[in-house]
Amino acid sequence: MKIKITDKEFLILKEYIETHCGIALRNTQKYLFESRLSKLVAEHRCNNFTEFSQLIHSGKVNGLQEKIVNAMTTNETLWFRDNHPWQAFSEHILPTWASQITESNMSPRIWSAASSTGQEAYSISMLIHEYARLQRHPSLLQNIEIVGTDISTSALYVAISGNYDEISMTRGFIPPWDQLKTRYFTHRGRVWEINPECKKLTRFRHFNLQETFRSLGKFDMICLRNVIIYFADDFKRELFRKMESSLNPGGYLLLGASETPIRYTDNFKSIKLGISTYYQLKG
Amino acid sequence: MDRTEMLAAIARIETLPSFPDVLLRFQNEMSNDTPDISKLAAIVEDDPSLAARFLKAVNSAYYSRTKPISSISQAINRLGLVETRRLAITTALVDRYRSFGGMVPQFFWTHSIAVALTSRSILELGTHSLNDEQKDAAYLACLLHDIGVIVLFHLFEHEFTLEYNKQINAGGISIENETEQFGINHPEAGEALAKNWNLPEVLYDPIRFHHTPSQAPDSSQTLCRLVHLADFVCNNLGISRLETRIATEFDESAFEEFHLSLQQVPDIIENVKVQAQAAESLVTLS
Ligand SMILES: C[S@@+](CC[C@H](N)C(=O)[O-])C[C@H]1O[C@@H](n2cnc3c(N)ncnc32)[C@H](O)[C@@H]1O
Repeated sequence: MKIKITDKEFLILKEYIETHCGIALRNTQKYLFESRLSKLVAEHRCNNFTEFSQLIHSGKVNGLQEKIVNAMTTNETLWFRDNHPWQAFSEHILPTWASQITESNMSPRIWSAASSTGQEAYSISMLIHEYARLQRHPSLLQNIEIVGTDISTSALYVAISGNYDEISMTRGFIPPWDQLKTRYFTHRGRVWEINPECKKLTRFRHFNLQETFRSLGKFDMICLRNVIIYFADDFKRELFRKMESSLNPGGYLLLGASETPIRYTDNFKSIKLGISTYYQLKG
Repeated sequence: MDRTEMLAAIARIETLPSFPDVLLRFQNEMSNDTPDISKLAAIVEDDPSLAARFLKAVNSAYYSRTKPISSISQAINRLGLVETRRLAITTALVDRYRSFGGMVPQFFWTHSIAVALTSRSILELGTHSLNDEQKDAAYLACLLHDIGVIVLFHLFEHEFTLEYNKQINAGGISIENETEQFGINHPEAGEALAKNWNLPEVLYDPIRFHHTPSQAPDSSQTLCRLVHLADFVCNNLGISRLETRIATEFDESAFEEFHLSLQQVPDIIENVKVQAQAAESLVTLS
């Protein structure tokens, strides 16, 4: 059931969502409100978008802002999303880290920002395990940490549980990754559970990208993928600034296939690893 | 049929097995100041098949840690009245609704019982202000949250099975699709059946709003959220009535309601695994 939104209601809500959730909307995207927010409006027993706006502004409902973000951005994700960045990760980044670990006892930290239900973080964990196994480099597993964060508590619940249904398991597990499915999951009843050794490298926590990044520490790789597309330009600039301060020297930034720092910052340069584009800080 | 006609049709249903009267009879006896144990025991003993099942259940690994229990009154002494009543209703329901429509009732009941047992874990791990009566209602509400599915199967056997499979293949169950297809969705159908069966009123909202707890009236929101969360938590472990697809989202207010934190997720999961085993053993008792 869709609830109609008037032009006036749209402008008020758009303004709120841009400033408080950082999500950018064009005037032509009125339909997005109707299709994605109608359920929330009804859920909060509002008859129309005016009542819903009033409810938001009243600040009476906890977590409403997060629910709006959830509804507008969706938790859509899949295993080894876009394929080639992960090939590049195994062939270029992991070998570099492996030798730095041996030489200088480096402990690489990876951030899956906007991790949703955990597919990205666990894809990375599986690759690290594969590398450690095939290159006989077990110390990799002692030294690397993957931090997954998201604003959605329900997505994080799934990530922490590490349980996935049959349909999620078909999404992204194509060759060459399909063999990893049997190696790193236990198929129990109707769910596939990621193995404890893969979980061990990961830590998930609730985090809104609008906060300062300081509490998270520094990273050697940040994956911020398929989420900045939703954000307003100002917020994108802010995100790039905050990421600059959160990356260790030589650290990598990986964006979604359609995302780029161009127009938002001059401080990143693009580098080609295999056929994939990663970004690093200049200088 | 539109929604009103559907509700009227459900109010008239006489062909479904009635709700086991153990619930009402227990309630009557327990509302006395000093409930008579032998009378309570008789409620179960009156139905030999229920009594046999009940005794198997009390002696299953989940309940019995000590000597075997050989009579109903002994069970009451050991488990207490509330627990005995719960177990009696649970076993009576499974017994009476052993099969319906084209659905695998084993999944249905394992899921429902697991949700009921899980709701207790959630209350233990979180904080809340429910009193004993409400906690008791919570157990029953969870046990019965999906009874609307029985109704839809009953009324639309073939079509419902088709719709069901279609939804599974399309990647999930949606109550919106049910409404579109049948004029009513399973939470609404469940509420209507609960009324038809004259079940206690506290159960109506939790059944009706278990997918949409924030839509429930304030007075019943806590219970609705509890059922919603327990349902999700069981589905996440694959203890679902659907075979392939499990929900990946819950209404976050449900998590906040009980002041749970993400650090507790592993504990919740460990608890649910135990409850799920108990549920399964209750259902598979031959
Ligand atoms: C489309 S998913 C992308 C998941 C994953 N990065 C990928 O590429 O497959 C977007 C995620 O961003 C999260 N998100 C949106 N706004 C956010 C914010 N302000 N802070 C943290 N997470 C946010 C959403 O909850 C959602 O899980």
